[in-house]
Amino acid sequence: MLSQIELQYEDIKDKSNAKIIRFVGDLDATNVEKVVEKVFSLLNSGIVNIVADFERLRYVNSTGLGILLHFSKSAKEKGGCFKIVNVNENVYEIIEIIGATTLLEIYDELDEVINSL
Amino acid sequence: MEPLQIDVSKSINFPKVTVISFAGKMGFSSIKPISSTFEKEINDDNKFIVADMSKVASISSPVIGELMGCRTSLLAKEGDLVLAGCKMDVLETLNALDADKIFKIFIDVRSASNYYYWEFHGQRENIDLSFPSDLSFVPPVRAFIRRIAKQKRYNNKDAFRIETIVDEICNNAVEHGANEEKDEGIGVRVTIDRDKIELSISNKTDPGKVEALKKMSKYLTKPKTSLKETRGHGLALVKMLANDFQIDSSESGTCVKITKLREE
Repeated sequence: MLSQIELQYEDIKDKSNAKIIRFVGDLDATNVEKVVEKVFSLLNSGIVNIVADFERLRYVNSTGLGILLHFSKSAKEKGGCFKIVNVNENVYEIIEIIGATTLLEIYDELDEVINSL
Repeated sequence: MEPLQIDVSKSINFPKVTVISFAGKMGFSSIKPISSTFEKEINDDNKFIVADMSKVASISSPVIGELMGCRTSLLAKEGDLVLAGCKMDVLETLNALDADKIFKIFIDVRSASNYYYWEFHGQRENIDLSFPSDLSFVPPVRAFIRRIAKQKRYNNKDAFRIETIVDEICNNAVEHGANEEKDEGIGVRVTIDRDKIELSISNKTDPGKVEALKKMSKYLTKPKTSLKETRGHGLALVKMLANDFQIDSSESGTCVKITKLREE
């Protein structure tokens, strides 16, 4: 049984090369390929500024965290960014333990991250 | 009004648990007999008491206050008073006075007695399970063990950490285990008590990977944080989340043993 993950997309006003992606569910080794495919599809289509809203991301493991680092790196290489917002306490702890809080751009508020684009 | 009936007995399954059964209406006039019943039990050093409320039609606020006082006396002796089998009317009165936030309330006497043995008598439980060496089996296994932890009153943060540990170790077992041994699969033993959970996760080893697995311990010293590395963080994560962590790899298989203490 694969973990359930759904990606919901939303445009950002006046930012044609940016999108909000809402992650809903669990991100782990069983569904990273699906997520990689969808996010890279966006990056390759010119949407290089991505806001990942984790409000409804319940769980992430080291494999999932690995692809988040990969997204961040790839977005920067394309002249954009991969910014994360609304991270729950448990998921934040995992990111923190790995030491990735300094590598990923993490925000508290959606307005704040949109204004930073 | 008929007087409240009070009966004192020992739990059938757990003799150290005293059950005080009430029948009727717990009104103001019943405070004195309730008080003297509890006083006798406390003086007799019966520290854990279940109030069987299944035959109580109603309860007044002064009686709730009296029960709170009895519970305070028991807590001072490192015991407790819990309620079992409350009817809807009684529950509504308890809720209205926020007493449901003070008393632990159980569906029946047996559940209350189980709680006592779990919390105070070092009861341990073992759960053994096995699954094929396939990643798709890992999410339900980790979710199952998370639910066990929550059922045993581990808090959400601990349950999440336990879920993460199980996930990372099982993923490694699938990835590094012997592919030709799919049918024998991965074995998980969970030993849980009030204070800690012990996990033992074992799998057959691919003979070609034994030396590589032995060298894995180097990953336990410092988590990888390079952007160039998108994999290999799992063991470092487990090391940080677990209180004790051992890997034993041999020609016959690999066994990872983890201890995670419960945090309040």
